[in-house]
Amino acid sequence: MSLTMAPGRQKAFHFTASNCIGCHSCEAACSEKNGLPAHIAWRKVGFIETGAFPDYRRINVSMACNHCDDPVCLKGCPTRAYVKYADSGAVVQDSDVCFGCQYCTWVCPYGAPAFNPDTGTVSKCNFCVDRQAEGREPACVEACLGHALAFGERDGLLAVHGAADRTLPGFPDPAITGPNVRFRFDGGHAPRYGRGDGDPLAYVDHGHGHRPDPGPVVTRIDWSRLRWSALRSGETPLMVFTLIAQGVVGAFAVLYALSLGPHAGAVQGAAGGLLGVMAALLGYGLFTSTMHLGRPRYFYRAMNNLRHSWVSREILFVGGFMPLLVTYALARGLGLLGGPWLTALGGAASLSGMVGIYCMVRIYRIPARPYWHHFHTGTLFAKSGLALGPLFLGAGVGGWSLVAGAAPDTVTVLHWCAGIALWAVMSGVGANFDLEADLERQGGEGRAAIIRLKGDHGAAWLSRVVLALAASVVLCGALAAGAVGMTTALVSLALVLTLAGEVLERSLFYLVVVPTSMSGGYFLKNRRFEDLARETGLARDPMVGVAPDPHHAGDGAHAPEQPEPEAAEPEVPGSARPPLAPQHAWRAQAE
Amino acid sequence: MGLIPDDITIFKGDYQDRVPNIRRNPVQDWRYTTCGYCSTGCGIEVGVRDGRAVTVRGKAGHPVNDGKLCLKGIWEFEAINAPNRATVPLLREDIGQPFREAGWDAALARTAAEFRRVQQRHGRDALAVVSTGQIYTEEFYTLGKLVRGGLGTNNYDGNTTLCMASAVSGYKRSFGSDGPPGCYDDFEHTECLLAFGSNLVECHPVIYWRLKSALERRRFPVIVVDPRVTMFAQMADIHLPINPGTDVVLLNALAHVILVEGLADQGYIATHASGYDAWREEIARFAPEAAAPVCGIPARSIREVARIYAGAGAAMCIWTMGINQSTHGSDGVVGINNLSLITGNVGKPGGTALSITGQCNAMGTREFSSCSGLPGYRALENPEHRRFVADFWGVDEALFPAGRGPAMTDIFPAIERGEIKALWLVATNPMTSMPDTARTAAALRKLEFLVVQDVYHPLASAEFAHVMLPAAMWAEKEGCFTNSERRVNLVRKVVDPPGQAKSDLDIFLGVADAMGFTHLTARTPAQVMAEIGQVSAGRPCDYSGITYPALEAAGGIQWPAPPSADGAAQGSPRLYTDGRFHHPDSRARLIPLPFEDDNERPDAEYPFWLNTGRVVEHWHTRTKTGRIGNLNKFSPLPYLEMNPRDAAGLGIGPQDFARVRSRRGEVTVLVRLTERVAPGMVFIPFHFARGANLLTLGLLDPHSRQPAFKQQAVRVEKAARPAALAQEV
Repeated sequence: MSLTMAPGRQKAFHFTASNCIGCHSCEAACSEKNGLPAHIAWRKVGFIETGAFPDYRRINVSMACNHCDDPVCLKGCPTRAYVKYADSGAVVQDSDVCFGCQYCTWVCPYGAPAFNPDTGTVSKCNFCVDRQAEGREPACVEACLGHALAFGERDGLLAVHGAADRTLPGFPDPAITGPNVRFRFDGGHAPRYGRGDGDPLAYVDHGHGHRPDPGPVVTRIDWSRLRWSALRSGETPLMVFTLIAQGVVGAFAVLYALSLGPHAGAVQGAAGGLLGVMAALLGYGLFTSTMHLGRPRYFYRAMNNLRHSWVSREILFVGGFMPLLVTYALARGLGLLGGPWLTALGGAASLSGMVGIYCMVRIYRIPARPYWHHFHTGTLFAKSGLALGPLFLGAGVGGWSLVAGAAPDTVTVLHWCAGIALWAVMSGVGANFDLEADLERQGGEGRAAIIRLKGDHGAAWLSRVVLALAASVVLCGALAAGAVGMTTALVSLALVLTLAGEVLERSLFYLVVVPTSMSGGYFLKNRRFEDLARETGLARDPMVGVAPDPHHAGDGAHAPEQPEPEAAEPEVPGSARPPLAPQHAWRAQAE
Repeated sequence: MGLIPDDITIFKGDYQDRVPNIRRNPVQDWRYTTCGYCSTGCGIEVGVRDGRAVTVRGKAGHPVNDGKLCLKGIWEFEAINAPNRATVPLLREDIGQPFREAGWDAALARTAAEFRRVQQRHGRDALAVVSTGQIYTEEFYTLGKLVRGGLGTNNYDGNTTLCMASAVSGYKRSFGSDGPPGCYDDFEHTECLLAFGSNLVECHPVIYWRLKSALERRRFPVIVVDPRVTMFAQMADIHLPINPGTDVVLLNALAHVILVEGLADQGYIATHASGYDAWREEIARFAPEAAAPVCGIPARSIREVARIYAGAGAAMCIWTMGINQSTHGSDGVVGINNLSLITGNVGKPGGTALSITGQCNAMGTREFSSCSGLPGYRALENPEHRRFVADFWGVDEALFPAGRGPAMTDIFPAIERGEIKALWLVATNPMTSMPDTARTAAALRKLEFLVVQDVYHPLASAEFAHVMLPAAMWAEKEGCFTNSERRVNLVRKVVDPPGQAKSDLDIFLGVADAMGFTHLTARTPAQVMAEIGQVSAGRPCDYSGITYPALEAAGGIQWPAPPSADGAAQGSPRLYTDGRFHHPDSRARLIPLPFEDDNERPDAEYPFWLNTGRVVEHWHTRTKTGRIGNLNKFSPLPYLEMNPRDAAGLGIGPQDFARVRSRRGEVTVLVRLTERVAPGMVFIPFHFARGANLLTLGLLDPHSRQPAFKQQAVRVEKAARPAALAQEV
């Protein structure tokens, strides 16, 4: 059953951008009311700028949660930590329920949900529902000094404020979520704005409003950037989990299919060991993705939102694949089940795994992340499974046959594996080129991701293609080879090359994605400054407002300042003082 | 109409049934105070729980801010709870040694002994005292009484020389006395606002809110003169991007147009001003066409602005450091006063020349600290004033010199010359705030004895101290501030100071007792306020009708505030409403302002103008805001604003580092590329210990002795990114 908000009930922010002076009072009032530590902000002020001195103009933009008509955070959250209130339309998140998967921070086009590595939970603007209940405006609105920020019933804003535009240069496409924020801007817009945080993404008016324009794609091969520290995105556990899950599902499905066919005998010997390794790998993948949560102890909440969340569904089906795989392996190894039953069980496991991979694809189809929101995310995930899985299987079957003696059709099985993998790898190369060309043509944040891919990580991008091509050549060799030993060696070599290529590709997948976002400031919400602060050690000082590690609790410098939601007695801000960071930089330099 | 996905997502109950992320109000008690940051003078209530300040809120209905606060005010309770508070008196024999903790008796005895030794061996003036604009008026008065009536040194000044001295000097020259004649309510009446060198939006956000609120009700032209496209300049109807250091030329040219076009109020001039003929002769040389190439503003714009200003029924000027911190600071103020006088815009609603003050109690030090005179705007040069105060205090009149002594900016060169051997710094941090940090450090190092009295430790200036006295801060003690519109306002004591820290009043009394002075008879803030009421009666800054309960009830009272018939002071929103000024003939002075360009100008070796200024999130030398993460995060490092067209030529990209060199020193800072600064000009905020003041020259204004922080030459080159970075004190 679907419900709609009663007319007039939905409240909204109204922002007169031409009045905002960038004084941060809204932001301070919000953070103070909610006791937020320096590295968390629910409302943030960034800016865009245009023109040449003295005809320069800066537009400050204050942005919090927009309490959307279609709250993608609420739909995406696997724990059901979000609710949308019927009386005001407020979308409110409960940090108590949140287990810190951070999926909402991916899907929100406005960067509203904020993950705090110290507490392991997300929190966000609650529309000051407590103040609203007292008939007061949200704290940010009351604090505004520039007559910029206002609040009211959405459908009445036009009458009160004279303008209620749905967008502003730099504001993400309102069609994604139906945000409840309206804008006014006095004076004509400039044809082009640059971002205050120095991001090269500009906002250019092409005649139908301002669109993000990241400039041309320049390929730059800098081999010094091809190192693990430059490729880490903080999402390594997800890289490991997704590759393992896809590879194991691919391997299992091919193993299962071969077991039903005429070559069942060739895989029979190795099957027990291979299934054991698959189960171990998948177990590790599930474990590492669970530990990647901000609060892994609440992992059981993952399936709270099967009705809406592809994350919950993925966990159901990939999680369900695991016991089916184990049961199948045991039943097959111990001969517990008869043929039809074993076949049915294997089919169920394969199906569960493949549905799980489909859910995984849907997870990454995020409109606020154009690099992922593409048909080829599915192509590439399928490719990973159909390249890594058969090659793993082939190497295992071949290896086993070298030890235990080859069946007559072992080479045929190896050729099947190599053939599927070759098709997958070559398809992947094509899909990648198609994806890159398509996003480059689209412009916006999609092209910005391609700029990062080919400009910042050109060496990794090129290496990935070279590895795929090399694997393809080796696989052609394997298909041409007739001896079991040679074929096994070539398939194993192809597995190593493919795995290296897949690790590179999946690292880049997480690393170069550019979410839709409003511009930050010169320091705050500025990716470049955050990187600088982390790399130079500046972030260890909690007064800098940059979490030393954005994904995990720091080294103690960031003592949890935010009151733990469980605490019965409300804590007062500042009661848990962070230790004093080194203060003598000046003296050290003077002496 | 919003489509909600389905029923499980709709929560129809009250939020209290499920309370996600709502922090409950922790406050047991709200206490009345006045903000301790800038001179806007916002009313703040501090929320207390279990003896700790846990939150603040703007005072609803307050005549200054009506509940509004800027971000520094919103986080002000965190300044009390900051991790860098000084809590124990510290002593050491030599600045090479580490400090050791000491009791108050030992610290005060040591201080008194050193003061006595230095004054006996090298003369009374070998001791210098440099105070502040940060402490309460009661404390300023007590310090003045201690220094003038006890220590007897004439090397006594406040750090207000770095910010407001030019305004004081200009007001004295034009009107015969210090004291901003207008008030914030003038925004509601004015028909034209002309702002010089003021980034009101960042420096006084709540005053900007007053202005913007007035504009929302009633449009009037706002004209901003600033070399940078600040947010305030951007919000203005007309922005005049002036060449650095040439305000006097613009002011003279504006006056020229007003005179030539017959827009002046000749009746007001004839009745209330003197010096008109000599002034007019000088003004004749400043036709807009002559001024335009100097100040960089087209003659057409000068004429247009002059006509708007003079044509308005009531027009007001405001200004801040862009005028004051200049070699022509005092002249700039006089030039603004001249404009106001010739158009009759003094003392009338919406017509005024209102200097927007800097520190929360810069006004209090001007009124009662005896730095540049004697309490109640009395002059050391006036024998009657000396006699009156000596009698009132019960001290020997011979202790008072017959003229004011060196300003803060002349005290440091006197230390260099060896004339001053001991220095007492009260709530000021010259290592960050004075121009040319290297020179300041060398002077401090040369002292035989330095005592630093401050709320914070470590502190850049305390690196050279022999004694560190921990002081209580705002809201840990009771007393008054005076804001930019002469509003005397109260800060109640909200919490106890940390550790052994004491109020500045108690520290002054402790030093006086240790020195054996007996004339400091007022021992509590209320007793001192009563004495201030007596000594100021009949003076321009008359406090005689002011009591603490009256201040809290009214949200502050504007001086002069003699008691009215029913006893409660009414206060005075405006000065000079009758056109009678404080010069002996009751007339204001029109003072000719010849212009001589004496600044260090960019040349081939140092091709960029360096301008300095404030950002909204920081307060002065960051002792207060650098340890509040929710403020500091907006600019944790010093940075350089540079025009991208200049940067392209130097190979500097966004977020690169640059080395900035001047003839004084060099500093490496982050670069922010922006068209808000002109090509050929760079800007660095002054708040950072290793920032702008390593580079500044600080030429002094001849009248006010205030340094020019905003006009000097530097060169910029790309620098490597440092491998490690840490925040500074």
